[in-house]
Amino acid sequence: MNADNVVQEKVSFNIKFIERIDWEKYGLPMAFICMLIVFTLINPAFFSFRNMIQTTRQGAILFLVVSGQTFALLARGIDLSQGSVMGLASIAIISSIYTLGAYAGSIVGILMGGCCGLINGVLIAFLGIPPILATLGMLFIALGVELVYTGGVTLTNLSDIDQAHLFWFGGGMVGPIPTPVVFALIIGLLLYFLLKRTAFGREIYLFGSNAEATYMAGIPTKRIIVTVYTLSALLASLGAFFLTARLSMGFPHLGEGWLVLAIGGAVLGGNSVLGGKGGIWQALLGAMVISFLDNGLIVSGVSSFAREAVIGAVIIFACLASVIRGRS
Amino acid sequence: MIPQGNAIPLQGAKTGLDIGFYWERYGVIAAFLVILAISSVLAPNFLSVSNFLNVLTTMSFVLFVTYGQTLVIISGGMDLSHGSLVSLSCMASAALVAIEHPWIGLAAGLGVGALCGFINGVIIGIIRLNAIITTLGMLYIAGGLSLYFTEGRSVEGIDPEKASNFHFLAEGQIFHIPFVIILALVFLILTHVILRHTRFGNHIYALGGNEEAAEIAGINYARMKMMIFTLSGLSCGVAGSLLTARMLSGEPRVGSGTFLLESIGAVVVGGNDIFGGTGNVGRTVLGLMILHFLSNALNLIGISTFAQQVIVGIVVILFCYLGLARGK
Repeated sequence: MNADNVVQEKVSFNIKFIERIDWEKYGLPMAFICMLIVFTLINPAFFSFRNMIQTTRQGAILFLVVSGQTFALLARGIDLSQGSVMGLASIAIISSIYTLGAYAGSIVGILMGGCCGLINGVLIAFLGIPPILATLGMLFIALGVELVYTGGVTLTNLSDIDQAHLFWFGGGMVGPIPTPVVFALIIGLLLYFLLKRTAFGREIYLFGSNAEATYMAGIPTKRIIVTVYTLSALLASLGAFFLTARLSMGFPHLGEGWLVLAIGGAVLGGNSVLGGKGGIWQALLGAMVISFLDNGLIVSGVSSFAREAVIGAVIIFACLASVIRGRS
Repeated sequence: MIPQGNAIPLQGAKTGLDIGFYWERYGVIAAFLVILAISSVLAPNFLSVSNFLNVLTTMSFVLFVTYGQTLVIISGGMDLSHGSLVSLSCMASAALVAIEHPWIGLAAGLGVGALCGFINGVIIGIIRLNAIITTLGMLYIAGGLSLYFTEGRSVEGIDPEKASNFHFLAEGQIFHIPFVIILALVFLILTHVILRHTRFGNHIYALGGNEEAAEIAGINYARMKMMIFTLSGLSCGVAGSLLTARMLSGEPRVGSGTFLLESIGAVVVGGNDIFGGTGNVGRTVLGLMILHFLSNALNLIGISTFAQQVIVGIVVILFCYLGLARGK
């Protein structure tokens, strides 16, 4: 055989080696590790235990919100109201703590956030309003309600006991691990089992990939829609709860900018906007990449304004990569 | 011989009054008139020329953006980057008006908007990334950039003497009619002509009606998307530059308020199908008028600006339920 053929074989072997890696599965984790290494090289303080812990605290909160969005995306919908539902939940939590105390008040507040999702679900399932419109409307409504209620000011003045109780959830530690991380892990595991190990979870996937077939199969699709949007708002409210607890105040604009992070994180992690593909693991990956990227940029001394632009660019590029990969 | 007995009745050939047909066609106008009538009874000073001119002037700045959004939505997409693009082009034009000649600043504002739109179009058209994700990323990128260059401060130092002609664009009057309203009308006619009387416009409808069929029929998908999103970006450039002309300074957060929501909300409330294929720009104008006159009336009655967001949300959902705002 001549030399040309040998070269050809070698090249094709190399290509095969690259092809053999399941990029869909390992591409993002690998990029994530590379990112960690680069940021550590830029500033070793990035890899310090303290910084890692702080970042996972932020990441855990984002993970909750992103996994809520993941449910909406899995059912071939989208939840645009998450940001303002977070603000609403924050206000509801603090103002019910005034009367009910830290624990009961928080639960009531979170449930009130979840109610927004319930309304979304009912509008979509029973009135037949497209998800994008129903949640867009809810975005306005929740934002307006919280601003009317507070007059646009921040709610503070918690009693010392309430504040101490509340702060533990957002800023406290369980051993060496931040409290939100512990909660997020438990909730994440529950959601994982809900999606992968229960009939209802499989129905959500089925509904996302083919709504009509699901209906024909006799599965109550309306129940799926209502549950999915309620979960989405509930998880967003939980995220808002941990943020609120950390700040110890109710902030009407708490959720500003979180919508982009939620949708961006969900899609970045590998959830399809066309429904039926993705899961909690993807939500976790997306949330972690965004939080560590954000923190890494801070540690590297990038100004907060440029950071926003970089994160936006990363979301687009990561999705681009997945589209190009999908086509080849 | 064609059998006569079981001929399928044509939809248009129905005799008698078809309420559904008229409701779909004129329902929004009727709703607008009802709102106007109720407002003039309830709100003091609502029904006056100066108030109407006032509302129309404020509305005009948003109108430019909604024209672009109409094109995008009719073509079956959605542009979420609008708010930030307005801010970015406002900053760009203000910076160049301050240093160079005003008209160079105007060109820069338009150019920056069109460029960002073009980038959106390239990513959506050629690489075929989902429009929502692309423009969401661009929302973040442009928002970050407009804050980054001045570190969140506004651009000052425009000489009012030098920029008097430029200022006239936004604040001037011809026969007591604000010049912006005239500009908005001119652009309205332009957009209408593009949509209804050019091949490009026809192709926009075709693309929104059935993307696959349109492509098979020979419409160049990539080029269409690039043109549509460039125009959409350009519309933000117009709005941003005019805002600079009005304020004679560049505000990095000028578009972060309700610009995006109003631009989508107007298209939806006006009765254009959110998933594309039908609709026209006149409906969009009507939609924005409903939103603005409603909030103006509420203002005059004495309801806080915050509550108006609730109303906007309810209007979007209610119109959708009544079949006035549509989604396939």
